[in-house]
Amino acid sequence: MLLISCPWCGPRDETEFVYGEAAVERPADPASTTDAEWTDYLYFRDNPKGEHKELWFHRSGCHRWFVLERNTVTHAIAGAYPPKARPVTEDEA
Amino acid sequence: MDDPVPRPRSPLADLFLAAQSAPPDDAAQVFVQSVPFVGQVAVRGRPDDPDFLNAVRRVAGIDLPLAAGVVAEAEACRAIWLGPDHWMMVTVEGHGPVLAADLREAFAGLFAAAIDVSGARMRSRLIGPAAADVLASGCRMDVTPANFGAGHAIQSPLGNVTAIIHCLSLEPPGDGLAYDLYIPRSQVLSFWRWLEHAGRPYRLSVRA
Amino acid sequence: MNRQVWRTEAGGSGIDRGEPRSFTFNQWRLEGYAGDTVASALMANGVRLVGRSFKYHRPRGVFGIGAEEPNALLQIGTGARREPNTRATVQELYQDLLAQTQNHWPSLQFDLGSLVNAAGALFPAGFYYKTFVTNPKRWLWYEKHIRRMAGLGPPPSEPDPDHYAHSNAHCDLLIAGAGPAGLAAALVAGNAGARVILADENPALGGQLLLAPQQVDGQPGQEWAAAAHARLAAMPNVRVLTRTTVSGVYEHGHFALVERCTDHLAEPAPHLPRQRFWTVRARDAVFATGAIERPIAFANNDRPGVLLLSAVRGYLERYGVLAGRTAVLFANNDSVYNTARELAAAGMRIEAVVDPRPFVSEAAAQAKADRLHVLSGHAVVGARGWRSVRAAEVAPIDANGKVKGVTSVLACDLIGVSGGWNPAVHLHAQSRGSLAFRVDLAAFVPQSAGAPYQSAGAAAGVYDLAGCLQQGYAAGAVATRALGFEQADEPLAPPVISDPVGNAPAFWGVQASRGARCFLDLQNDVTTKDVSLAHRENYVSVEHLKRYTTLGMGTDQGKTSNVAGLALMASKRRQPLPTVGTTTFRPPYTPFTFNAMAGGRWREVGHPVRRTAVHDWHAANGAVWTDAAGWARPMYYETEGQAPQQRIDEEVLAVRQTVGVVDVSTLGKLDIQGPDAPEFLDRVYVNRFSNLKVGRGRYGVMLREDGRVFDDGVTMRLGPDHFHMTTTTNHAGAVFQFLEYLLQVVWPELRVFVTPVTEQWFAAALSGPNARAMLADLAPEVDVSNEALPMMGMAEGIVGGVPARIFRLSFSGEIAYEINVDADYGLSLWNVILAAGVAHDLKVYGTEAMGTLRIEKGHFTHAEADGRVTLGDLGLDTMISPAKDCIGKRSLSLPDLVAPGRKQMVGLIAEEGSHIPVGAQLGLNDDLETPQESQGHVTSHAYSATLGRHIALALVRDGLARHGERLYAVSPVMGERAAVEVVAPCFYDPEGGRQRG
Repeated sequence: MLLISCPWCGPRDETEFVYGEAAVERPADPASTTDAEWTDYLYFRDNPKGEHKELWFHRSGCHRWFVLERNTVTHAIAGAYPPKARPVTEDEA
Repeated sequence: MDDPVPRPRSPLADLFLAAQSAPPDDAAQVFVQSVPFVGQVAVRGRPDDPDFLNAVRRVAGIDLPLAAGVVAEAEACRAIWLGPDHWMMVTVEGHGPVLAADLREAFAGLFAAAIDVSGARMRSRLIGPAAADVLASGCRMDVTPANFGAGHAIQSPLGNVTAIIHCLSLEPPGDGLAYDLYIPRSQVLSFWRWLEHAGRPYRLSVRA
Repeated sequence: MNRQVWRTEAGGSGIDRGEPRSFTFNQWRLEGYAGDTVASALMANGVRLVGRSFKYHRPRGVFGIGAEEPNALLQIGTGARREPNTRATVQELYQDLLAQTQNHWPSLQFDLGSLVNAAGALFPAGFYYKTFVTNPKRWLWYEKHIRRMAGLGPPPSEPDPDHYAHSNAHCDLLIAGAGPAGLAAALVAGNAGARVILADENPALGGQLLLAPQQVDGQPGQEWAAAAHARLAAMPNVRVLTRTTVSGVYEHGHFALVERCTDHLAEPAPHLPRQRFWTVRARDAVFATGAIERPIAFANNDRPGVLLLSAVRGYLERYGVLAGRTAVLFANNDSVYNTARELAAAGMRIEAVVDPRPFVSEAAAQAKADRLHVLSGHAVVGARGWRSVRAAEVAPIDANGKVKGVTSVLACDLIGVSGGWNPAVHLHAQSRGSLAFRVDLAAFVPQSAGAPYQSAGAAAGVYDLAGCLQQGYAAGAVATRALGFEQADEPLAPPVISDPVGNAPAFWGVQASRGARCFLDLQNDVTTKDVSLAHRENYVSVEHLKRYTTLGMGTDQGKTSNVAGLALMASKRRQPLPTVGTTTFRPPYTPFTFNAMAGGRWREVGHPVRRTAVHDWHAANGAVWTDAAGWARPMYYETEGQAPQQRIDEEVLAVRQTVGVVDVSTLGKLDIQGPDAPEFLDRVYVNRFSNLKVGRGRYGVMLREDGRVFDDGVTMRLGPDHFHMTTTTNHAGAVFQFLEYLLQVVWPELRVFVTPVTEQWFAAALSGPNARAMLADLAPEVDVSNEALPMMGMAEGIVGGVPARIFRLSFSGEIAYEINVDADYGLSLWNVILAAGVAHDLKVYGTEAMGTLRIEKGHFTHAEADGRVTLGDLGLDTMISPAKDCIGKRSLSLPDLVAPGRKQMVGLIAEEGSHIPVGAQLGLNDDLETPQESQGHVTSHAYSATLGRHIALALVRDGLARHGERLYAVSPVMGERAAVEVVAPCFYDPEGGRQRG
């Protein structure tokens, strides 16, 4: 069971969260995308062995979405920060 | 047709009623207390908006807590941090709609909201020397008094529900800690079944 | 009369001779002492035979002294409390304990199953694979026999009456194992102020200090351990958990522990849990889990009376029990010499100490000088006897372990065996620490570099007592300093008196003579031959070896056998042991009952039921329940003497003819407000909400990004920037989560707050021709006229003395009002409604009638919008506002969503008198036998009392263009068929005049 640091609530048990999906950007203007671009956004995801940026939702806590940088092999967590926010570097943390 | 006086009803009413006639268990290390209905108001607003914070201060005489897990107290109400833009204000029974209306009025022109949710959660109170142990059997957070003391509150899974757990000092001071549990109304009976199970090793007893 | 004839006159630091305990073993009544395990008490009574082996049904006796025990698995207790496969070496004795042997028929002494032993060649490794791969049907014949012959104890068939608890705990340092190293680490960390949890699987702390006479700091080992325990127990920052196994290691400092709270008590207090499952979050951990002695393979080394040497020693030291009268001790290390002296002093005759090492160690030389019969350069090559050892066959061996001389037979009733030790690296390996092979120990040890946690003491391959203490102190100090505690002084290890250790060079077994079995894995009856066979048949990877031979499976997971089996495979492959590697170590370390894991989380404790404010009324009035996203909802209300369909028909007809009321509190409700709320709803729903008038509502549909229908419901505009959204019961949580995703991740610039308010509101829907008149009675101050409160209008007012929001909307197709009040007053309002309903022929209805009403109206639910369906498929694409974008809109032009052949929603009507089968597919003919291409499938169906016909909604390929066509609803599963006519989905009042009237 992972221990996930919610950017607002601090470290909480994995059971409090739901995994959303990979942290991909929604096209700003869907109407201007080609079918290929749009279906790429809809359906195609990388499946990296290693570092992965993903969105989690703190369902049983503060109801915030945030980006989690998780290693898919070791589960080491490199960072957790609000969506579209700059990752906090180690010096600042 | 008689016009009956409307009465609020708690899903736990029958349980507490039955407990009143049960003999007390002298060996009980943890008690659950029936707590009367309370007014509850969901307050939404941006923590960096001074007008919003001032409006709450003006209406309720309280500074909303801006840090996770903190509870602010005023004479007639308290404010529990639930999220960076979400608080639950707790007030006396029947006052929820009034407080919500007053806040709404003060929020005119602001990006802020106050919603009466007095019926959304039921409150019960856990006291006794093993109260923290009972919580620890269903909560993954560290709820030992050293880490989670009076004046703190968290929203977290507790047993089979998601609860708001508020730790407070009993009056007179030194009487130990109490835990107010705010449980979603629809699940409160199921939660009670869990509480009876989790409290069994500590001889959980109902104090009406 | 004391029948404990194998008990010594004095001694046994773990038992209380003043506290006798009688117990039952099979049909015998026996006696032991408080502090005994079942194994030690049985041995004190001279009981040798405690079970039959898994496959060959060979007689077996106690082999070890702790968690590693492969043989002595008993059923403890009776009835619903019977626990199979309990290790007698761990189970503590209590008054009137009932222990029974398992896996034999008809009796332990005479087991017909042992004929398998004679026919052993029929059951080689890979028996199942070979027998059933070519002809799987044989399995049908074999299965019941195999299941009876092979196996361990049966589980009880009654529900478990006991109580199980869960606890969550947090600490700085978790220490697994409280032997000398674990105690030392705990003392250092505890003194420094760290929050420590020290867990040990035994009832007393001390580990090896309890099982051999040693001295620490001038005190006997067990006294030093007891004093350390007392010091730790007095520290408020230290929690000592005895009888607690650290069972699993998971990510981010998450550990699973199982505490046996009352398994040692004759009559536990009813409030106590039997076991407690601990979930621990620790910032750091030290594994001081000790080492497990390993046997040496020789012919018939499974006979009762062949024991691990440390067990023989421990039974004497801890329990005052002699494991035999005349012993041959067989060990490749120096621990045997002190053991021999202790046993001799206690009255055992030591026939010989057999030391296979090709040299005479200092300790061996000293023993010879002390007139012990030491046979250096010899090995025990076989055991004689059947239900008990009667003699050992001993032969000289060469430096390669080959027999090179004459075998002599030494009469004895005990063979104590030690092939060295394997560090208990299980937790280290579970934590993804790697292993290194140390040739001097012939053992895998934790690779400390890069490991997430430290191992200390024997678990790290340090076998001498002084070294264990020193390493324990060091590990405690390193961890505590790393955790940020300043005063983590590492004390000097106290002086000790202990065994010389000496190296235990690799010695795994002797060559078996033809026909004899040399066992590696006692629990699974795996012999050296099985490993050789696996090698010949090319199952050479260790994971294949395990599955093919079952080596290392079962309840002990090969604690005593694995490494020897791997060593044998390595020698067959002519590769070094480290190259062959080990199998994966997985939790749990030792088995525990599922109920400990469940911790009472079954039935409602595990699966909470959501109840509306009038649940008790429903229950008292015959509600038959259904589950809807966790909510308990009445399907219909039962009355004696009436068939369910009759009740449902009455409920439906009441709505069509008079008025009905239904509890709709379970619908999801979201309060949405903020200056950008109208814009936000426009982006979320396919239709427009920004142009909705205040005080009015609109039905909206939202899509997923892939264009499929996600959810629908009515949203009311309470103010210019304030909306009340309803969602389906099923999707309430998902819609909230999705809206928050959009607001926080996709459009953070929008100023909108979404607040779930489902729990706040009790809601009752009144519908039927009499609904308006009834509402007028209920809310005399509210103008309920069609002009003041039209379809999709709303009013606020007092209903039954309670402030209420009244929404006029209709799911049934009749005039309908949804009355919402604070849920605290839900029952109050409900009673007022029922009282007012008497004058209007009101009937309460449930979800079955509601479903029938909506099918009659052709409204879709998640049965139709099943995640693959678009609004176009539902015939509702005119709802989509062409003038604005919304979530999912881009996908609607993707080729697959506009291709012909999509399944589209239609109505089906059955011929008079026939019904539509459940789960039916739709075909062009009613042939149940010949497969045909499906034209679609029935999604919802009902008997419509209004129409007097069975009707259904269905998804039919190109269905919108097929109205009027005849299809056949066929269910090959049910063997049913019906002719149906495809019609427009709305069966009743398609113009909608009734609901607007």
